[in-house]
Amino acid sequence: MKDHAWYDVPGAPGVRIFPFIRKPDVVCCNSYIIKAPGHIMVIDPGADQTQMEEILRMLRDLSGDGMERVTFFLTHCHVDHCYALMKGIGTSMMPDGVIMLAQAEGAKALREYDEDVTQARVMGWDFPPVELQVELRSLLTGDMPDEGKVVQSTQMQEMGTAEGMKIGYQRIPLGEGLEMVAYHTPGHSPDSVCYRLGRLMFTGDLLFATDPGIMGSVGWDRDAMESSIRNASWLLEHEGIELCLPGHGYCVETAKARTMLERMLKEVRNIGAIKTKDAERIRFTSNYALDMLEEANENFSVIAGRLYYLAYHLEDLEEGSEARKYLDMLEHDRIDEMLTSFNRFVEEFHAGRKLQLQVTMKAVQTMNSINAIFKGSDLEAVMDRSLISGTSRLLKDFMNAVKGIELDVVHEERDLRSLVQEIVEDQTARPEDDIMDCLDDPERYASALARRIAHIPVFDDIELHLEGDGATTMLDPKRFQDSLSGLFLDLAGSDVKKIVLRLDGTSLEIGTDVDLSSTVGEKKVRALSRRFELAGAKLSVIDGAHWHCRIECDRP
Amino acid sequence: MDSSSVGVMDDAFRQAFSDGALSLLVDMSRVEYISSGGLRSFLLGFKEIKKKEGKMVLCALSPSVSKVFKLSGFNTIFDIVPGREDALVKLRLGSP
Repeated sequence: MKDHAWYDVPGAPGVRIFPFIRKPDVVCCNSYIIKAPGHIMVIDPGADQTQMEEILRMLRDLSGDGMERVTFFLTHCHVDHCYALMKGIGTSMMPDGVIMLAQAEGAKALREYDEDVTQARVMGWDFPPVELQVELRSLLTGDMPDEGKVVQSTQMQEMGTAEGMKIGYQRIPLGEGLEMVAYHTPGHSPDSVCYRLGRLMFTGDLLFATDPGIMGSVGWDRDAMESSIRNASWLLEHEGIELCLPGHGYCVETAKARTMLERMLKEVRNIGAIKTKDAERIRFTSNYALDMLEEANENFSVIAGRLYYLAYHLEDLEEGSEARKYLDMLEHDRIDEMLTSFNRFVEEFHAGRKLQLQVTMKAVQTMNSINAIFKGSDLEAVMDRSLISGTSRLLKDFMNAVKGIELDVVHEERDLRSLVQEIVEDQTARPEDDIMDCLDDPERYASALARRIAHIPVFDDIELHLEGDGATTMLDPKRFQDSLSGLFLDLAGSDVKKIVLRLDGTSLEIGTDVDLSSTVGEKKVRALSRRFELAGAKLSVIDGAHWHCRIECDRP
Repeated sequence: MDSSSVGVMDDAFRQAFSDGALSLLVDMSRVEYISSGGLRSFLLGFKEIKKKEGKMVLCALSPSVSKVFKLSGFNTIFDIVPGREDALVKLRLGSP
């Protein structure tokens, strides 16, 4: 089913549907206009003014003699699904007697203008926008039967689904033997509903409720989500559904939707407690995304630059096919395009044209795609381990922060001096050079040659001194060493000629001979501090002019 | 200099070569960021001028661009000097 075209509704003779399918975004959802004999319906009017005005124009044109009933059905009360209606856009075009239906808890949140449950606060949108112009009625109210009577004689019932499972549902007669069935599928929000019409299922945000950045919004309920996923999968199989019409993005065939639900079920079962994505959390992840973008920009330029450097020298040695092999190791053009697109998006954000939540979602989309490319590359043979592991960790930590799950931190008792010593040796060591042993094996020779060229001795011109004695500390050794390697690379990329590392018990002081305020500025220090903090250490800059920092580690 | 602006650099190199330039001074003072596409553009330009036995000198690299050049080894391929005057001197005298 495509955007802006009329289709027959399978399993509902005489009923037609007109979808408004948008590129997925958090500021407005898809909408669907349905024309049945004597009744026009809209699933989720959305939040976009242009879309709402188009919907209202179509309602006016379709209503003909004005005798048709008009009903708006909400899949849930999040503002991206209903703000245009709440804001009163196009009120003058709104037909008389329009009803808006929402599950009882969502209807309550809308009536009471609850900024948290409706997500108005995280979007930064006015609430209450206007006095509601349409009659709001509740659906699926087990304990409020009077309010639950949308139409005479219908109220919530329960049906058995998968083994030991039940789902609340309500039949809504549309006239001429037609009906819409609302199924209560909470989890993403308490009021989430799927609607069945003929062999179509309107799924709202169900199919991406466990995506990073979506999961964990106010009202998220892991257990309810698990039940809803199982119920929805059962319904798709047993109710003869052909197509799922989601709240965002393209329509999904039933088989694919069931596969998505299976994956979601695994995710939701594996996930523990997660942090609620309230306004403060959204601000945190959005700032995290902005810091991470700067680091990602730099890391991927360096990684690609090293491959170009290697290929350049191999070509000079007339090893053209080897050069090609290393250039093809990473799709850096694709990564470059994705980062460019994200950078443009951030410029829009700074100009006030994008929301914090959108920055987070764009970061998730970008980093997911980059991670898929980066994970599949085989760079370790010709690249510093610290650069690769630091970049992998950067991507993984960000995704986990957006999901709101605890990061994989393993604190151990370790001697600080040996941890630091290993990194100092790692940074200044030369790779094992076996080129003379493989002169008669062209393949091994080419690899050894590449390893030799790829080694970029960034510390050769820098004096590194390690002084003092360290004590036993309690920290995550891998994270600590990755953080320290990252800091060393930042220093090596500047004009530093001398780095002094002074150990004193559980603290490490790092002193340099130059002003690094332009390369290790506020954002960089914030990113470094975040990394050391996760490792169990606290970084503080003592002097920016002759760059000097202290890293305090925890005692066991 | 990212994937959306790198074409400008490619065009500038193409134009310079078609004009027969053999000495190129690239003032980087307004480049805040260089992506992989930017690095490639420079490398292609450098290979071309090397083929023609010409010279290219880069000057006024911002700290962040300088860092990427150092960490990727590009500082060992390119002739990089602090300012324009240094670059002009280098181009007049001939780089080592």
